[in-house]
Amino acid sequence: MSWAAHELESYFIQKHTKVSVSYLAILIGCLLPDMLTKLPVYGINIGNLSLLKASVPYQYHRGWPGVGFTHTLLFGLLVAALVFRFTGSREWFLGLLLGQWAHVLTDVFDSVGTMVFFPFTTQHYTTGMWAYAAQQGRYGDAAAYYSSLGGMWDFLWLALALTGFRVFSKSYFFRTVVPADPAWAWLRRRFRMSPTAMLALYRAFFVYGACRAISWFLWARFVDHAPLDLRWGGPYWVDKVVLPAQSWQSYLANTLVGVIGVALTCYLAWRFVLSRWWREAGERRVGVVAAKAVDVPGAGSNPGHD
Amino acid sequence: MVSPLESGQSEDEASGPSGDEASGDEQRYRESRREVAIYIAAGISLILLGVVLRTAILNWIVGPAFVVTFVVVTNGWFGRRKDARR
Repeated sequence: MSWAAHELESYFIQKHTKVSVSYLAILIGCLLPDMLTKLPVYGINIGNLSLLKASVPYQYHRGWPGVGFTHTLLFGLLVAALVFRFTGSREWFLGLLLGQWAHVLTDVFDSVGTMVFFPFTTQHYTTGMWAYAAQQGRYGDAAAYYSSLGGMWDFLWLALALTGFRVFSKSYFFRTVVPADPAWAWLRRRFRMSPTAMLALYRAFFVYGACRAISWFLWARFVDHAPLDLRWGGPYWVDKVVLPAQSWQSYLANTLVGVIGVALTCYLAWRFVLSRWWREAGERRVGVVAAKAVDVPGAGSNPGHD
Repeated sequence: MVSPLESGQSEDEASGPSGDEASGDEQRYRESRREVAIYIAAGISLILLGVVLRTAILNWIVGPAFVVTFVVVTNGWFGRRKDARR
């Protein structure tokens, strides 16, 4: 699994998305699959007692049967569509979808990978770049991850987020991020947040993600003294989970079924449901702008914004 | 032009008397430097506490909340110090 990459990739997506999108939705989308699954992967440890721990963590976390469906493309579509139905916000729909899909694709890089095309196939897709070691417990997993290419993966995302440093500026936040998402105005009203606090909240997951990667890396080096192994599939010293290999024929057949199934589902969902909601959301927005223009004489509406 | 909301100032502060453009630029530069310093201090504190406290602070709730609290409190402290100097 990836650790800090999921916080850091949200800023990269925010920077490279050319349409209006909610940053908060991207962030929630990036964290969602693990939010719903992580606790039983490690369990709650009180002394020698381990509560709520899954008997086979990788199977529970990424597999089927298990909650591995949370790490699939269609789960992202389903959650984003439900939120779209209830909020009517295009920005939240797109943000959740992009964030969750980024998480699914990022987790492909460990030795267990994700069932990207579930439910059409339970085939796992993995590059095996670093060891999946959640069965070692939280600290064992941290030591393994930050002693392998997984840690480098976090630092790569940190560098990628920094290449778009403009997204951290005050003017970008107040001119691009806040206007795209009414949730910021709600947060400001509900919690009486000052502009400084709003800006700090927006930047907080970047600072946290960067510090989390550095802290765990330092902990693994100087406290846990875990040997660093930057070879593909490392570290060598951990008992990593590797799924049984399949023949190329069944791999390709599963992939073909999966790609067609997911693409067709996305197309049908858009054709018969989402496009209608999208149109309705646009009409509602034009209605709100027009109502504002009527309420405030002389105020110009901006239908082009839509 | 940076709006009061963007600059983090109150409306009163923003509409108050301002100096010439050069001193305004200098003040903005100083404020942005101070802001960067605050975030770096928050980051260093979080890294050091993270090595010691591990998951007690390095989690999705406490970690970001620590950053927000650190920035808001330190910023407020600097603001009060500035006001006291006037």
